[in-house]
Amino acid sequence: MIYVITENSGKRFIPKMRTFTVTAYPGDVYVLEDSRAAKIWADDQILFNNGKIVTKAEAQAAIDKAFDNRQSIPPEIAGMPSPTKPVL
Amino acid sequence: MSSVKLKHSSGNGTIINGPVANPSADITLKVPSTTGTAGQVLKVASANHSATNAELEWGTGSSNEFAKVKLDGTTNSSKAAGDFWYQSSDGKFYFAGTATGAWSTGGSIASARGIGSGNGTLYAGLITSGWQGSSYLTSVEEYNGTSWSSKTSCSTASYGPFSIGSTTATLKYGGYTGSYIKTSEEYDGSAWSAGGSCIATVGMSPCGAGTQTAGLSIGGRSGSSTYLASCEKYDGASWSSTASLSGNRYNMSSGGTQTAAISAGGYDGSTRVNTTEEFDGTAWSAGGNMAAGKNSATMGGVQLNFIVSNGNTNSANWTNTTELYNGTTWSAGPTAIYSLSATLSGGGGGNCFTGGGVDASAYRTYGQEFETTIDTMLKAEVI
Repeated sequence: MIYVITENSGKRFIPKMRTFTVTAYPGDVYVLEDSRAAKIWADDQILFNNGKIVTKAEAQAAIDKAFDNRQSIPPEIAGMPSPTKPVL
Repeated sequence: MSSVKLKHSSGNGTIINGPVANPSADITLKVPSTTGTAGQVLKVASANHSATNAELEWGTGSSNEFAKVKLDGTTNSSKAAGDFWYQSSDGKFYFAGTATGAWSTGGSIASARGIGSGNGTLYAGLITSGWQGSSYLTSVEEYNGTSWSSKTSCSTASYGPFSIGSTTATLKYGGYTGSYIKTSEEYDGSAWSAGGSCIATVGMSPCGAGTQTAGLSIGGRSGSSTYLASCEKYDGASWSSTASLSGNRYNMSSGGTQTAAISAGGYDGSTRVNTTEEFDGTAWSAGGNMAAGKNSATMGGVQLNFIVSNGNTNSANWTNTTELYNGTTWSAGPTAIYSLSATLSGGGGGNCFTGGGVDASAYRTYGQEFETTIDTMLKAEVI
């Protein structure tokens, strides 16, 4: 897998016509399949969007930090399950 | 068998033979009186056709010759995913790929938020109100399929309203302001004005369908543990009661028109339901069940082509799973880009947009787009 920390830049940040799988996590973490097309996308993030490729541990640390600093859901919202921290 | 040989000047030639078997009687074939045009075929004319006589003419062949054929071998009168057909206008074969669609990121909204309302389509959408972590919102943003722009704020700061209609004729109703409300506001593309108040306090997160002048409000929540099954119709000025859902719930995914609406999922006070109900303008009937109960989800579409994604389930606060409805059954769709709940979303048949939403960390500015793809994967010239 390829672990990328990069910020959503809006339209076509993750394009419709792509040939790789990507899963997004809090902390601006994106986990890509390890393929040529995914590596091209990751390299574009480094070159043009201040992104960086990180280790799995570094990606998890970014997720942990975002989760620990999470915003609250209004108390009037009924019956939400207990928040669960995403784990890579 | 007799034959006629038409010799080339160099010696060889073309031989035209008599019939391969003895006819029951002499037959007559009459050739056309013109040379036709390039690409035409020689076919039997309907005039003067009998067992012993045929007049030949130039033509394009019968329509059945190149009938559209689905990959399972059956013919079909409309183009849909999986169809393979000949298009006489350009002389090419086409194949329509499976219409599962794809998610991508869309333009980001200006104001991070969740639990607001969305209406319109992927190419002309509107989001209104919501919650950004500490306060109720009145802000409005419009999407043009590429980017968002700020619009005139509505009057009532709330989260959990529902909105229907287009970007130039929106109806927003219900919501939570610290109190459960039943008022509505109408938007004409530039300004908001008061609309008629619902009969019941539809309150937090009712859902709905239709337009500003032919709307439908479905369910809702009027107290901390009071969920509604009641439904109301709007005619552009006032609300009237209509048939109720089969059970009390709020936060469903809904769409369609006042006379062909769909409501799926939601929360009934104890569980996230996976049922679907369809409204024909008079009564509700059961549709297919989703694979999982889902609450506060992304939604878009019409009764015959509807999408539900994101949202929370009985075990997860934020999901990226997608289910697609074809008017009868649900099927798994591609996963959304982000795992979110409480997005502001809308869409037409086969398309959907989201703005905002909340994930395991924060209220977001993310935009997402879903668009059904009909790919002309094969184009082949007829030779």
